[in-house]
Amino acid sequence: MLTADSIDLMNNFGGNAHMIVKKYTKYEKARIIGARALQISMGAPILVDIPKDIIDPVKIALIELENDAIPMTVKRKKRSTV
Amino acid sequence: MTTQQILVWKDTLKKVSEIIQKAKDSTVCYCVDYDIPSNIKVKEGMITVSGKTFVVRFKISSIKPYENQQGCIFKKKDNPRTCIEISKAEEIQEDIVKYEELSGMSIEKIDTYSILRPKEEIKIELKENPLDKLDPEVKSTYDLALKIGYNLPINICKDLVTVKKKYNVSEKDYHELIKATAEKYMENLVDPYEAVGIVGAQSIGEPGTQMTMRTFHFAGIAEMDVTLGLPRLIEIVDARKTPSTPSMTIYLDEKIRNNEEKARELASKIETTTITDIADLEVNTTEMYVKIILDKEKLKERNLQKEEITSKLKKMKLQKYEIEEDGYEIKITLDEPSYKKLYNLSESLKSLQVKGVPKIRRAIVKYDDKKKEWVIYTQGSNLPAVLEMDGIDFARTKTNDIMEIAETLGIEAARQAIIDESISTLQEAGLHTDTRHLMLVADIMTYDGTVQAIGRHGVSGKKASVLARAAFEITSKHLLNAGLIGEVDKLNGVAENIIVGQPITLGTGAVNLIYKRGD
Repeated sequence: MLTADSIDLMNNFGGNAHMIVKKYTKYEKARIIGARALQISMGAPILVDIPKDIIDPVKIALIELENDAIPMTVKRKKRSTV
Repeated sequence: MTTQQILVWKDTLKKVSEIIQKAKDSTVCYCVDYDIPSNIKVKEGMITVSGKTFVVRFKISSIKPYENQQGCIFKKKDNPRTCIEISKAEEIQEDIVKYEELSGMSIEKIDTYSILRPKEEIKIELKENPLDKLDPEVKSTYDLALKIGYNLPINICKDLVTVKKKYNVSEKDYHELIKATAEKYMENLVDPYEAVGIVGAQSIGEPGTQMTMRTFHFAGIAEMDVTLGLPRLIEIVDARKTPSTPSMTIYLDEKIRNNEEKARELASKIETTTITDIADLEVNTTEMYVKIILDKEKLKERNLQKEEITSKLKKMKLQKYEIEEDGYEIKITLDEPSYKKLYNLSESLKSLQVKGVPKIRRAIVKYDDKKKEWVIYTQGSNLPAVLEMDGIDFARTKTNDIMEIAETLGIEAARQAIIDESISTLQEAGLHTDTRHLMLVADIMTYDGTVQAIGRHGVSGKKASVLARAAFEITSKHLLNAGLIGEVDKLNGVAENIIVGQPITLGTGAVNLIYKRGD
């Protein structure tokens, strides 16, 4: 259901490539959605078009993640094999 | 004496893997900080990591003084002196002691670099790759999976080959099958930072609540006590020095495993006999002697001769006493009247072992219907002694005393024994848990080379965090000592973070979020 395609970190960090994240673990997804939902609930601008009747920040964050629109990602440990 | 010269030096494991990796495609230029004299012509080289064994062998195409080149690997960044062109590096396993210096001196350890030659004509063996020993079909499956990008475990490859043969899968479908299997496998891997410890603890504890607290007797012809159920599981996890019912299962050699008579003979050889089993002891305090009255019937039963007994007695430290023999009565008189000595003598005589392997109280022979062979079960365990006996199959003989296994066969064997024993304890009670949880417990118990208990005397008591130890057991002692010394708690684990009120370092608490700038 949820997808997070290859995120190219090299462009974002100017050469210090950490890892190319192919897939988020369930904990990472939960964390990202949770942090984004908190931001939305405190008034952050929403980055995708949401139908007017969806007001739950968690649901909004979920839709944003599905559309790869959340400006947050995960920094894994250097030796991680995931 | 050959004049073949070999250049050798000591390096780190990281550099060695770098060299091997690069040398696969092309010649590598390796810059070292030694000065190699130009009159030495070497064609071959070897590298050591430990100083005592060689791990890599390679061909040298040329050696020249250092010039700055593209694509050089440096041994050390500063002060490079010589460039060595390395081609064709392969992993080997060879001892340094087989080589000697050019002057003829033998060398035991390498610290920097050296030019050596082999002492005599030796054949260098390539390091064994366990993958080469596989069935070729399994190996091809493994390679196919590797091409798609998945490192599949060997057992899964074996299963795939079985399925392929059973259902006559075509090559194209087989590729699809491998891909689907690999993807499913990756999906089922445990997520990083998953709380496997607590999941494992609950998975073992839950069936534990359904186990009995009583111990059963072994129902059957041979009445042997074996601890079952919860007490046995507690024994295993507490790493008790000796279990309450030590027992061995002795499998027999090929030649005698189907021969009942020989099996019984071996069993009687193993079973311990003490003086009390075959004789009556009469202690006379007026005349200060101990009389051993041997029972003919019992001697015959156990295949013992009177002479064996007397020779055993003589071997004992009884020089100060007088030993008189009279038929089947042996009288041992004290030289000086002393009640204490008399008592000591009678006690040591009672426990004097006359025949058999020490510590093994009973040995029973039973026929195993499933495996179709005679097996000896013992009460009492002495693995080192039994493994050395003739006629037994030392590869399958086992005991339930885990400490003994750790001493005799090593820590990895002990780890496997913990897993096997706990699984069989759960299975006897009709319960089933995934092996992984028990494997985790066994790993934790044996990770540092000794068998440690899980409780406060072992793993839990060795934790670095004060708060975690205090929360486990004996709160005041840990807190007082920590306060006196001035200990610092780094709050790395689970318990301490809960106490303090921070998110724990597992699951979502272990995720590091960073801002992703969209450009």
